Amino acid sequence: MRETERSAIKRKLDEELKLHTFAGQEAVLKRTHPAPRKTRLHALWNRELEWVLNPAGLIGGTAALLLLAALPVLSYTLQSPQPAAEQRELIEVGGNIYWSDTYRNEVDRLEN
Amino acid sequence: MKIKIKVKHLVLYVLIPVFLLTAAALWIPGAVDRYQASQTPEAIRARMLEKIEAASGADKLERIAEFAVLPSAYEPYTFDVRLGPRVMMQSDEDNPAPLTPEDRVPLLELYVGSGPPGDTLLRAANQLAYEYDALGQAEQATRMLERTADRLDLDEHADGQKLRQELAKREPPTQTPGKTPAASTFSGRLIDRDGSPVRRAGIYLLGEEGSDSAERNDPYQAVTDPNGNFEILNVAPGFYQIELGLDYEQVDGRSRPVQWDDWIEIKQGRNLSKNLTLRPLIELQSPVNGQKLTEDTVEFRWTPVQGAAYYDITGFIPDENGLSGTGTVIRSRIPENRLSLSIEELYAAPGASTLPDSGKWEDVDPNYLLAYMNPNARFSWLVRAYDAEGRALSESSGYRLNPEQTNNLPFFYLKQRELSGTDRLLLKGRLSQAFEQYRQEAESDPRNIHALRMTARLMLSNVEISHDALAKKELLPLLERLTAGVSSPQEVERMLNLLYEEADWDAYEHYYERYTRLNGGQVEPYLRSLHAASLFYRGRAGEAVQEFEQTLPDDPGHRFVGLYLAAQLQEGRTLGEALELARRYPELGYEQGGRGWTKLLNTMLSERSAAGSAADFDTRLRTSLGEFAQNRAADPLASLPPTPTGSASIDAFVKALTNIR
Repeated sequence: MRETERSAIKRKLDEELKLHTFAGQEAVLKRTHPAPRKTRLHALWNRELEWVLNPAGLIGGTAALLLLAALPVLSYTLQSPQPAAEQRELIEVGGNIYWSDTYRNEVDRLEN
Repeated sequence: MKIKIKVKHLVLYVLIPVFLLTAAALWIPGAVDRYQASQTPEAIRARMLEKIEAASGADKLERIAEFAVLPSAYEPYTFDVRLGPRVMMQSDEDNPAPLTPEDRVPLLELYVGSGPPGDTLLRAANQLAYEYDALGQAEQATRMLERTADRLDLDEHADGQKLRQELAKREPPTQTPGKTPAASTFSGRLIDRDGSPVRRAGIYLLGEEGSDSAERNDPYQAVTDPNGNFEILNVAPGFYQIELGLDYEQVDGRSRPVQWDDWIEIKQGRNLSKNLTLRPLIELQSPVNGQKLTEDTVEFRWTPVQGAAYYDITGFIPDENGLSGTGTVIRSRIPENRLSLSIEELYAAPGASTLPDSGKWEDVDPNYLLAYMNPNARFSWLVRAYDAEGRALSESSGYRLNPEQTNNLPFFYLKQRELSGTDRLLLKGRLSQAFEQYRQEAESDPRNIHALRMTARLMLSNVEISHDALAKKELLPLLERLTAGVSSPQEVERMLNLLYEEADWDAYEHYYERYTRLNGGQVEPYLRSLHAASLFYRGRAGEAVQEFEQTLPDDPGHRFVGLYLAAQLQEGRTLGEALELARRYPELGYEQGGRGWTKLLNTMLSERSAAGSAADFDTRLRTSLGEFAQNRAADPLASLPPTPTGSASIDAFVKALTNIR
């Protein structure tokens, strides 16, 4: 007698649930049977991101990228102002002997 | 627009590069700084000392050799600069020497004591001796060298001879009782401008015969100790000039302490002690730093020098390449530390007299001809101070290395006039054309002094190079007009030299007077000597003697002493008296020896006493001298050998006279 009861209940359930669709199979399966780490990482790795660009964003983004690319060069030149090779030599001018850089500094200073 | 991007692309192509760049940006400066810090001398020194410390045994000795002995910068008497009467020279090499003398002495001691025999050991011994000398421990140096000589077989090694020589130099002169020692000691102290000692400086004695300052193996040298004292043993008698070896810090802002033609005499058996003082460079006050002068009076000012009796100013005119090579004296015998000149007087000062490679006067550098009349030229100047005896004390030009010394650059512009069209033509190098134009301008307007002056200068250039007699004739009246007005002694001087060479005695006398007047009644020693010589040639031996006696004390080189002696002999002095004078005024320099004239006179004396007739000898001498003078009266540069008199000594004496020019 149980078999019939079961099938009858099943038939009734099916009819009532015909109008509803169960969409959360994946979510449930994920929770009951979580995928192994590897698969999950792989999925993340290949996940597609999407965003909308506008011109401002495009310009801003390019500017940011260029700045970042230029950072090493900028910081090098800003932080290390001294000439790596001090090629100063002695020069004779007007009877006196000067270091070429001291002399040039003085001349520049006077001309300004 | 939409952008779709997978996470992996975002990470690989955007986030990671950005991260790397940022990391690099932050890390690179630090890395560069650390690298540079490791290359500083201090860091290198620390590493070297560490490596030596860490090693032991033969390894240690090898490292000592590599770091402390072999580098050429550690060789004794290696200085940045050599200063002397004839030289102001710096070394080209830039060899790093990170280890200090204090570092090296114990290392050298270790090496000399236990290092392997060989050239390196000898080198180390030599260096150690130098270091002991610099510390004032000369005896310790000698003992160390003796021990080293004992340890090794000196003949086996190339540098062994050097060690022997070094030991020989250090032996105190043998004192045989009753006899004067053959060699003498030269000692003294090198003091800086503020009285403090100059240590670890090189003192060199350079003898007469062609020794070049460029040679490193000078026979006499010493290094000053911590008190500035130096001592050179076993110096042979003779005449020497002193040179100094200094480092940049020691020479910066200091003037050469010895002057051109400054000789010392080491007499047999007599020791000489001399203190040397480095004086500060004279500071120029005005005009400096490219000042553009516009006033009718130009005033030169500089800081006064203690003990100075007078000064002279030399000006430099830039050539066509903008370089200022040769300077010419603007004024001499200036009694105080300033000079006021009218601009016309400065215009009258000529530039250096140059000989172009082509040999044609049209190729002379026009800048030297236009000289101070060029408003676009950047002139420079220097001043020298002299004491009452005419010896140079100090000067304004020298090493100016640290930034404080580079204030007051000696440059100025003269903007009182503008370039005329003819001037521009001249500066372009079209000398013949400019000459014609100047000449026309001068003729059409007799008050155009500028055109007159430029005509004269171009003509003078022509005459100096081509010796064109016609041009010379034309030049004289121009010069007459110029020098009658505002002029400069130098304007006359060049003419005077020319007239002397051409033996144009009347004109010469006339301009000699004019020169003297323009020069404030004084005559510069060189010109005065020439004048005295000309008097002798013209048979006025008595006046010649007087003139020579004025100049000889001022001219330490005594270049014309031979003529002075000849004049004295013509005046009736005996050979013995002449000999005494030759001793008083020895002629010094390369070609002659300080003993040159005394030897010649001595030879004549012996020949005379050996000769049959002394009167005969005297007559022959008189005749020969007379002939020499007459030849020279026609051509002051004549160097024909004399007609043989039959007395070899007389011929030799007169021949020596013909070498004086």
